[in-house]
Amino acid sequence: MSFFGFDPVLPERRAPAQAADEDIAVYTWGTEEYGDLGGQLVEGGDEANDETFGDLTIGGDFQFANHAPGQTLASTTVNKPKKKKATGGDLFASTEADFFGFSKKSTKPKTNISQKPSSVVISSSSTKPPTQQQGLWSTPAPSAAFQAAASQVASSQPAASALPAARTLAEIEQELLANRARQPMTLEEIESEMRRNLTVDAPQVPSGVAQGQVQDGFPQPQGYQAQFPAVGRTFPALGGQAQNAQGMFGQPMQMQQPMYPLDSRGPPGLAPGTTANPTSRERMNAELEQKIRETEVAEGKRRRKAEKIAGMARYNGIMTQGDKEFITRIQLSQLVTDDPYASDFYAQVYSALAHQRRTAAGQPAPAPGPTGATVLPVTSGRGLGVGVSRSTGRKLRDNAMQRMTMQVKRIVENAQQRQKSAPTATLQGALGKNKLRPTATAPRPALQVTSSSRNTVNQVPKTGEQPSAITSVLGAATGTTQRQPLTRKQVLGRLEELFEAVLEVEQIRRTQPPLPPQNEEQMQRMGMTPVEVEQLIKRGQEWSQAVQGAVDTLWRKLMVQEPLEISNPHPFIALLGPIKGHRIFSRVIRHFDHARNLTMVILLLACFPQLDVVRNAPSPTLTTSALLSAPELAARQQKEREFESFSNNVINIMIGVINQHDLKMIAGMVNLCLERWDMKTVLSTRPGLALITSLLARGTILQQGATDAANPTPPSAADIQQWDQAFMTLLHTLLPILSSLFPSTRAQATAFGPNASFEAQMETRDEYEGIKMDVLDGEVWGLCTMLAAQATGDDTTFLVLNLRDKIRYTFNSAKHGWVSPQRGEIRLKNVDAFLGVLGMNVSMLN
Amino acid sequence: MDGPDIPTSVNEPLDLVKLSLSERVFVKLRGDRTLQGVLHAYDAHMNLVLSEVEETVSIIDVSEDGVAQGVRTAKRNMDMLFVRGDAVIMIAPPSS
Repeated sequence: MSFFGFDPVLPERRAPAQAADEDIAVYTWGTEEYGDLGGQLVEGGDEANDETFGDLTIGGDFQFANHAPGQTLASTTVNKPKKKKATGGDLFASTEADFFGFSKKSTKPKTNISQKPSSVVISSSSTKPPTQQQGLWSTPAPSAAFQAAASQVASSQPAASALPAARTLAEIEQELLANRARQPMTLEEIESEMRRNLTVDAPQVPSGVAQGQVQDGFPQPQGYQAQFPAVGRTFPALGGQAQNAQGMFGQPMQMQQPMYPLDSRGPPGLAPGTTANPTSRERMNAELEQKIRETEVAEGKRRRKAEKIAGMARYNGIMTQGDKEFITRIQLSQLVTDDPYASDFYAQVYSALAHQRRTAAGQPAPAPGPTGATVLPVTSGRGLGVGVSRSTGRKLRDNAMQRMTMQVKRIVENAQQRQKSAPTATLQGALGKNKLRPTATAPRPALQVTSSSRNTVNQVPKTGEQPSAITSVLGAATGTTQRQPLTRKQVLGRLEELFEAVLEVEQIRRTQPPLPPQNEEQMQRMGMTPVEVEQLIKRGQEWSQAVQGAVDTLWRKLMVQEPLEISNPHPFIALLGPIKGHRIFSRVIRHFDHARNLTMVILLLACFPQLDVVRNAPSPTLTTSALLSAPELAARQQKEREFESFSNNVINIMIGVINQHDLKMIAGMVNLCLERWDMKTVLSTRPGLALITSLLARGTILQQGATDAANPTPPSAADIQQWDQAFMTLLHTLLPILSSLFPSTRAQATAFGPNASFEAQMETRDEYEGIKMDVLDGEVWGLCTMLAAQATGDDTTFLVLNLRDKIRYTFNSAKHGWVSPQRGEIRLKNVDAFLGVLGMNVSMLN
Repeated sequence: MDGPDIPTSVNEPLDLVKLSLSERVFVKLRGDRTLQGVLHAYDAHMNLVLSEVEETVSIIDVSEDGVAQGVRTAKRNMDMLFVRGDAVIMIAPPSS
């Protein structure tokens, strides 16, 4: 508000503000401290009163006050400030200082000293002979008398402010009196001189300038009086009070003040004789005119500003701190909801993520809130969602939060009580439907659509009802009920339902009531009565029932229990088509128990070939992406995204589940895969490859007698035998196709036909994609390595024989520089891993 | 025709948009603009949040005497985009 440190407050208004705060003598006129001294003054100076004020017409130059003749100096000086304190000045005193926030010390007391009396003088001008008044303040003539008077004024003020002795004051008065005796003469002289000067100039200067000079340079009484009503109008609100009016009149005069030095500078320049040159005079006039205009503009600005400030200042300090807090409470109580998690879901998730990120980054994670949660509980089940705070200023914030929580709690409780106690039952509905919550927080929905489908599971009985229109996809041979596979829209719709269901489960889980104490001692420590414990137990039971119900709903919605052959793809598999389906899988799995998770994984294994990522897996190609058209490229990228998402959200979690089971179960899973998969197709895809590899890895580890938490005892002989059998079958299924599983081989086959020689240098030209291809090859090498690790006797030989060509080609391509060194390195590493398991080494190939 | 246990939970037009959440959508906007991107959020005003957006602006060059000179298209890509609903004319699932 203050530009360049300029103090925008009118000096006049500062004075009372200071008077209130600082113990400066000048401002304590009229207070007790000064009262005594004033009394002394009066006593001491009474004899001189006649001399001082006597019968003489008092000029306005006596600037202490606009006292009437006969009044004592003391009485006037005592009275004046009193008035001012009671009026406008005081009204703005503390408020404005607050408003602008500047230090009160920055205002200079000296300006106040000299300006205060001036306002007094001028405000009284309507009752005084104006010419004399001008003599002191407006006459621009550099008359000796004026300067003397001015210097007197300047010197007398500090003297007065320093509480001078009566004697000094009398001296000053005498001096002033002497000055005044001379003054009318000089004034008239100057004035007439000026007028003469003006009339001489008049034909040359534009009339507007002349007028301005007359008005500004030699203010006429009319000029002043014309301004006062205008000023009065600008402050209509304040002008009503007589005292205020006087205070306000002083203010515009202050605004005018800056003009005086300018005006007083002008006329000397125009003084006769000194400016003989008419052009320079004209220039002077023009300058003067310009300056006047500038000053007027500046003054206008100042006035507008002052008006604004005055307008605003009326509202300063209207609200107490208590009022403000009351309003804050009202506002906050609007934010309290029954379900702080759901109604502030995004903020909650965001703060959770931010929390995680900060923890991961090793930074000290701030406690989310005073209660260690991101929700401020107000009453049970209700609360106010708050995010995780920044680490700075946390303590402060927590304190504020605690206080706020208390306040909001109070207001919410009050509202509830009022609601209970108010005898509105009879009146309810008398004025139409009355909403408890305001429309701001609960706006009326634009469309009143009932969402009937929400939270309802339309499980149609599966037996005895077979839609006639359905044509079987798999043929009727299986004998089970068959349906059309889900349409894409159905899948998407069901996924949305699933997300809602998951959110509901998560929501219910969050509202877990505290655990009841386990024994007497604990109960006493927690300060609970048996009844309370009973209630707590009951609440816990209700809660777990609610969780169970929600989880069951979720389970049903996943459609895992549908018959295996009900459709192709199975509904559950169809749900895993879109990327968001992958996400839901990783999200639901933690809500289900072991058995359900196993069911899901087995279903997934059984129907694995039906999966989108398997069925529509991209075939490897030597074509570099540079040759692809934009849509092809987009499709390829989309496929890659889908695979990434699937492997992150589904495969990894499946592996997690698989790793919890024993060898027997793993063997069963391998058998299931053998039974239901077209190995060549499935293992040509990365998800299938990853799954089989991890199954093998798990089996190998368990077979070798490893135990872990999920598997406390080593597998029995029968289990091992079962596993060996499953492995043998798998190995013999894979042996013939193993070499054709490599993406590089398949890519070459597609490009050059199935019989293309391995020795041909058929490499993709693109380095980046080549590396990618080699890495993919590495995944197949990984499977081969797993097989080699388990294979025994002749099988090992067969394995090596089957892969001999591939091994040699890969080795040669790396050694002979058919590919870049980087790719060669990857290839060698791949082969080396495989050979290492067999107890061989790459170097042996030489 | 529909699978019997899959209710089509479409009660209002915007429920269809819901099905396209986290899917690629095609959005037609006022001012000859179209967007393709992954839909993350929407509201009743059809304000949208999209990611991986490709915006296509069709520009018709007009000569001084008002004759259309043909249509150019300008494209740009954005990672994340908020679309104010008042510009949305149409939201469609991807053409595939």
